[in-house]
Amino acid sequence: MPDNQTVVSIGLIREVFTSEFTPQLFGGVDTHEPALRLVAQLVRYTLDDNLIESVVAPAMPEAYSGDTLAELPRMIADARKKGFDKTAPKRAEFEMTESGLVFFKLTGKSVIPTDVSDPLEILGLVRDAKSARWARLLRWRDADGNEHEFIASDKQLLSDHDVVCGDMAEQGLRISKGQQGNLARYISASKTDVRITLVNRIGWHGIGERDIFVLPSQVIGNPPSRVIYEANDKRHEDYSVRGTLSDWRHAVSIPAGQHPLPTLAISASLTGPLLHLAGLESGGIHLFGNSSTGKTTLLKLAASVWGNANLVRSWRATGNGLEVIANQTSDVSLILDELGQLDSKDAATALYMLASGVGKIRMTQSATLQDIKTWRAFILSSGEMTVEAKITQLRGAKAYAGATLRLLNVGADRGLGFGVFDNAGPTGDVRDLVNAFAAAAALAYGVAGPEFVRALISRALESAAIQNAIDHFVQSNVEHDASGQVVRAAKRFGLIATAGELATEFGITGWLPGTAAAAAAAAFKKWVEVRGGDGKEPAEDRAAIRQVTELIVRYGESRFDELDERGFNVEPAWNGDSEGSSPPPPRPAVIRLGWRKYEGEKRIWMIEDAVWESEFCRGFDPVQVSRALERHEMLKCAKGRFTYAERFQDKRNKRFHIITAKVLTSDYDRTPEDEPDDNDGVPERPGRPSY
Amino acid sequence: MSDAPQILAEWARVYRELGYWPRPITIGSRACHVSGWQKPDAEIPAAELASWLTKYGPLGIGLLLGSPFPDSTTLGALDGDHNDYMRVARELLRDPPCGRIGKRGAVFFVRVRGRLSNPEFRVAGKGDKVAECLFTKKLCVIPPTIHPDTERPYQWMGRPLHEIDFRELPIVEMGDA
Repeated sequence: MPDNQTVVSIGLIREVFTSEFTPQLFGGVDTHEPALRLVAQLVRYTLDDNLIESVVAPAMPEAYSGDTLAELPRMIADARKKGFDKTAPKRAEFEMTESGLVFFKLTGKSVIPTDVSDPLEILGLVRDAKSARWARLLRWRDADGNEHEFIASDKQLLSDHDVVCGDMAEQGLRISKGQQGNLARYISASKTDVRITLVNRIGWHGIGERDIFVLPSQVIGNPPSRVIYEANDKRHEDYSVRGTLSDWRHAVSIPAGQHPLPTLAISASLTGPLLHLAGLESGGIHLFGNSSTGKTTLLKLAASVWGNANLVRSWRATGNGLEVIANQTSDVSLILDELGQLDSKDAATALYMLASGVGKIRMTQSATLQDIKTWRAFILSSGEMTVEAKITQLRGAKAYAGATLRLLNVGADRGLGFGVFDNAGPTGDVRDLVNAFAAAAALAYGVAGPEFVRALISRALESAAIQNAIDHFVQSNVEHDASGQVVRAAKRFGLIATAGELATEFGITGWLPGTAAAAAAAAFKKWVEVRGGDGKEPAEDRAAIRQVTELIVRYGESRFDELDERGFNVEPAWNGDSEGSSPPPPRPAVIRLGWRKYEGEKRIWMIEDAVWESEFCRGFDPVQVSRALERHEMLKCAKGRFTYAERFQDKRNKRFHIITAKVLTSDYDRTPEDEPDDNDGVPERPGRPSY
Repeated sequence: MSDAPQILAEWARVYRELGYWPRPITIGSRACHVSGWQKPDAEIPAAELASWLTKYGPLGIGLLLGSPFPDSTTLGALDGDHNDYMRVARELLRDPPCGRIGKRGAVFFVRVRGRLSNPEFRVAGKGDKVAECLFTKKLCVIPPTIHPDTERPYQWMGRPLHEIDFRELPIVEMGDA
């Protein structure tokens, strides 16, 4: 439907209705004089002569047969010639006419109209949700008739109007040379009751006590006033829409529902909006496996929930770059391909940063805090290696459980010979299936996610309902005595299941109820397998035991001096049977970690406190390491202590951390029976053990 | 269920879905039937808005002016009882696509841009009100509500408002009026 281009100023309407000459025309008698005077009043409000004629003419009765109508063009021309149109309107020194903005300059007793710019509209006052960054939203059409909207900052209008006007001119607004100041003054002085809220990230926003959801191309919910998403990037088209929900459901979702991993990817992509509603932290899943198994296809399916395939971003970015991407994908899904491309030294930091939902703190040039970027990201990542492998690529780096629990590893090969799929599809060639999914995701996209949010808002889904669904998933899939970390991971898979099941309930996916939950449960099982162990031992404890074991396996002989029963160094063996020979010199460890000796038939390794903390417990809490080793009987402890007094150089009172031979034989992936699985960092004994 | 036509129940949903702010009109009057009707819909609990449809289904319907359009303009109406003036207004607004007639005169629906107020127009030196702007916190009764004097329904002039794309409406530029 074409826009109605008619714009009538209230001044012109007022003049027509309040003029004493208008009713004089209604009678149709002696119309010349009132028409002349009315025209003289109207020319100051519009440059459009036709409009003046079309207003004056109908004021005459239908049966009017005089000459006044024919005289109107001359009356208008005379009025302008006599300068009636140069009489400034009483109320404003500016007037926005249909041909543009006019500035009426007072010089002595005369008023000189000056052309300022093409027409522009002031749509409203803009400010952010904190009632700061005030600005005005403007709109105009360029010479080609294309519409432009522009946010002019109040601050810049005052301090730097040449720059603002330059930007506006760049967007096609014609501005007369030297009139930048007048244009800025007109815009700054404009008054309007219309309020517009500016947001700088997509996702959920609380505006006027309502939850609304902002995407670059649409605002979902019912905001009390217009909301504009403003971002420095121009990637709005990534969230574009193609096809209908029905197209997407039939081409993408329903076929994907026949394979657990594609089901998981789509469900995960729908999870972002639930983070806010359920009050959960950021995090995600990482699909890992060999190349050419279909991982990137999974990401494209996930991207189709919200927009086009450009939403699949690359891990190859700096920390700052990732921060910007996360900010752009808040509350939807942050899809990152090829973890291997991330610089190893940035890996752990990037993961923590993405999961924390807060960017770096930066200062402005005036040494005040800049706005800190924030987001809630549900990450869907892919790569050939696991998250742990990526973090530990850098020599000496450790994959702390905190980091790896934020991005959960899911094997991206179903092990059935079809990569991420469970079968080869209708043609029997899995390559056809991959191509078909990629093509479908390119033909229908950008509808499911917004529709999901719309349903969430209309049903006013509460946090408790989401939590209940997650708890149900955890109860169904996790043993009651599993470690806290396993439960935490299960909750994340439960959130994915909840998103998928809700989307099914809302009629979005076309899946049978339970499809998404089954896919999430299978992925959780895979995660437990990749993590190793029985799911009861905290990951930090397993990592700490692995570190101690590695040191003993590598250096248990070479960097430990052997002691005899009394604690003296054992001399090298020499039988003295060779004429003129002498005993070989002692060969102490060059960079000693401790001492070793036999206790009966079994080896023990004795380590001093400083070396224990700096080498064996590096990167871990020594109390936690000791407790984990003790639980597996790998550490010999005195009552109430994590150390033990051993005979050393014939003295009996020197305390060591004593590693037992069990460190080489025990299966620490399994939690010993009847031992508490406590990962709260609080010693089980009263007080902190002394060394 | 009464046999009376469910004017509000039937039409309020239609207008609300289009972003307008429908209000119940007491039968036999031009007055709103509920208190606090001047508040925008966003400030009225959703349950209360929904309850009007069931409680006041047979009542007439009016629109609270000032509801926003996506282009940051708002719904307004130019109301006048004098046919002569409204003939001029029609030309001034370049033959607007939607108006409403009751007993005499007419109302033309417009988009309003700028600072909202409700100017009244009186002929200079006489003081007779010839027209007024219904731009904010004002009510405009619309068809098919029954006119209290004629006891016949109000009529649309041009096309009904619910069939109009808002962009078809002319704009009244308020400036700093």
